[in-house]
Amino acid sequence: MNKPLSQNYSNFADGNEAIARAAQDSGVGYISHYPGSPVNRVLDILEQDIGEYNYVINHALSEHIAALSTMGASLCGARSLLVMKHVGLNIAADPLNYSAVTKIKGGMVVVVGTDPGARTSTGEEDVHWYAPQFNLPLLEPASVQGVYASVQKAFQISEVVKLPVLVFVPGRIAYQSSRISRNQQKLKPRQYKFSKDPENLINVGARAVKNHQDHVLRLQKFQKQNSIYTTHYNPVARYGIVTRGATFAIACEVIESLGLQDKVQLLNIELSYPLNISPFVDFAQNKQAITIIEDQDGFLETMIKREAFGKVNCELHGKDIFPPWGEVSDTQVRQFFTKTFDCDDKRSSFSIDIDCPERPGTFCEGCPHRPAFYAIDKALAEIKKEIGSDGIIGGDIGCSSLPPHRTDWLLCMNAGIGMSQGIAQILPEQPLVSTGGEGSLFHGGLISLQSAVENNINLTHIIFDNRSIAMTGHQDSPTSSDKVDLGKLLAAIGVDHIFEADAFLATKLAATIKKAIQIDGVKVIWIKGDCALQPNEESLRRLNERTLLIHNDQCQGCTLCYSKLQCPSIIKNEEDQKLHIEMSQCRRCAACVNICPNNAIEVSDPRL
Amino acid sequence: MINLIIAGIGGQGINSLAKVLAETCYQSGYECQFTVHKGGAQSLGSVYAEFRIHQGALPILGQGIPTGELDILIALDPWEGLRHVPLSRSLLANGSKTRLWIETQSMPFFIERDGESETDSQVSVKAQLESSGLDVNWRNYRGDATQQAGTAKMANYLAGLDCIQALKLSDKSLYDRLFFELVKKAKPFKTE
Repeated sequence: MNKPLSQNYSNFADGNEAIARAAQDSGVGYISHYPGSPVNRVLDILEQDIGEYNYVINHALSEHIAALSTMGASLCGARSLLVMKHVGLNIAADPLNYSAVTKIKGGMVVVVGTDPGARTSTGEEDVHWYAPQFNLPLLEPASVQGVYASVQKAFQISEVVKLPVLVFVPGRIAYQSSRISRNQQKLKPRQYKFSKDPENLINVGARAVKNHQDHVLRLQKFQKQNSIYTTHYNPVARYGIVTRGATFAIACEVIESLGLQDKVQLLNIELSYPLNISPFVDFAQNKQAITIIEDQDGFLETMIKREAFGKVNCELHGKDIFPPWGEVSDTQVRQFFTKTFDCDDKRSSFSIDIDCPERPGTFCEGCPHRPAFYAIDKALAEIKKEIGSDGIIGGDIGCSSLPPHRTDWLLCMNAGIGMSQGIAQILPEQPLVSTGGEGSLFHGGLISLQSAVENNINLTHIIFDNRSIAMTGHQDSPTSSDKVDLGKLLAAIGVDHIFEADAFLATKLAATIKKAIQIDGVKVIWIKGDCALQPNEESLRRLNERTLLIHNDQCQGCTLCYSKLQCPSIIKNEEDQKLHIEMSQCRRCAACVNICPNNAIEVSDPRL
Repeated sequence: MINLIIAGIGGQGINSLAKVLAETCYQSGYECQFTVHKGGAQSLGSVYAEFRIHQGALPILGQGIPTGELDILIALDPWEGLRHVPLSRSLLANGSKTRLWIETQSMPFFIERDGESETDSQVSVKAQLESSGLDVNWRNYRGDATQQAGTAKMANYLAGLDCIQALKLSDKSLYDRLFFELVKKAKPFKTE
């Protein structure tokens, strides 16, 4: 079953695909995840092939559930894969703190997409510190092929030490593509079985302490017996470089381009926790100085200094040279080497100052969030006129958080509905709406809403229901199908007022929001509007049958459609400042028609 | 070693083109690695793919193109081309410098129209590119694609043609076959 990565083509794979293929080739039996970049594509690939392999997929609604379900499957003997982004590890931390004492049966691998530089996240939290907290082995591959190999190794290690194994894949490797080779492991078919094991699974009191001791001793034994590393360049060089993950390749390229292969030896550490210090001590024997080059906080430097204390005599550098934030760049590494070895960078750099603004992306054409935020702004502006207070908009993660950043904060999942409760209680007179998508609602928002009900908080929460986890690649959400009746669910948990609204009828929606804010209780405005990139049947019909036109003779130049709605399909002619709709971009949602106060935008639709 | 960037914005098919280009390089006898940077948005934000292409086995290379080592830059939007110009090679003794193929027409920036913080007109970006001293080849990818295939979405195909010419990969038919097999939404071009 070792089929090519891309049928009929060579084996190019990115880090996401390498994770998926390694799991398939390791006989994975169970996969759970919560979607998040930079490992958002792993499950797409695994799902595409589900008929060809014997694995089950659980699209969990939070990382907490994903972690627990993976532990359950592993206890039945299935090799199990858990996938999430770095901040997801915060959510999964509670169960993963218990995972070690269960003595898992089937190999359990926890793949975490890290994001130094916050390229695809709201933060670049360094989650390395979870490895010593969980006390679980951590592998850090340095290439796409390395990702494949690490995931396979992780399954094997996990079954030997009876511990889940963490594999951290940084964004620049997760989205890097190169040709990889595969090595399918031959596993005997497994008979899954849950064996009652109160000694390990009823983890309380004296048993908890005993299980903790057993966990620590298992890990210490593993630490003494295992190290995964490679060494490169001159073994008798007086200067040492240590890397992990993405910085390995950068350091190699710079060393070779500067011709320093004879002057340094490089140690790349893949098993960064628990760190077997013996290879490092050997490496350090003849060194005058060693510099650790790694992204972010200096986790490896800390582990090395902890384990090597009193065992090596050379200078140790790391975060005294490289910053503990962002990605370590080629330029930083090059500057370090040219300065340390007093050598010339043979390239004469191209010196140019450019004036090029950031372009972070925004709502797509036809996105329901665009008219919804127009309506929120309109409602809050009208209230401000009446009472003089600025409105507050609580923001959440997801596509609704994209520029033009209408919300007042963009932090973690469910920060919209969560932080808003505190503000609503402290500033009861200030108009406030909290916002979040339906994905966030089912991740942790529902319990937040219930909490607002229990505490009688005067809260207006807006659910953007686009029936898709859009930002991470359109994974299904609970409202993608008809399995859940959100209206009944909200009523059942005691929400006082539930308003259903159409995102594209922004004028009516603004009136609904204003009304909701001005009444007491827990109010939910359930805004419906499918993701423009996942068009339903009606959206496709509109796209084919509907046309829109701005009548410039009727347009009064208020520019609401252009400057407030900010639809990308509405274009201003630079010469005469007239507006027109670029039909090659327009998704025919007609949100602009709804907000135009002068009826200057005509929609032609055979069904209207 | 050839370092190449293809740049544009979300929705222009940079990711698809990158896959086609990698396969074309490989089937033409080159090894390569590439990284696609998409950011968090589905559409309209900066997207670019960095290629490291080599005849023979690839050495160990960082994920990104080092500053001063960009050889070829092909952009479906002039701002997205300008963004990567600082990576360019300066004029070397052998006369080589970075070559650019740039779409003439810029896509608007949509952020905060209300605040009048839109970018300057394309004259400014064009002037910046022209004054860079690099070889700039102006292209009308979007206009030509609209004319020849009925949609500006096929501009990435035309940009890919310039990629394979810049890389001196002579077999256009291979690129054509791979493009239309791998890009499911590709529309046919009018025959010349």
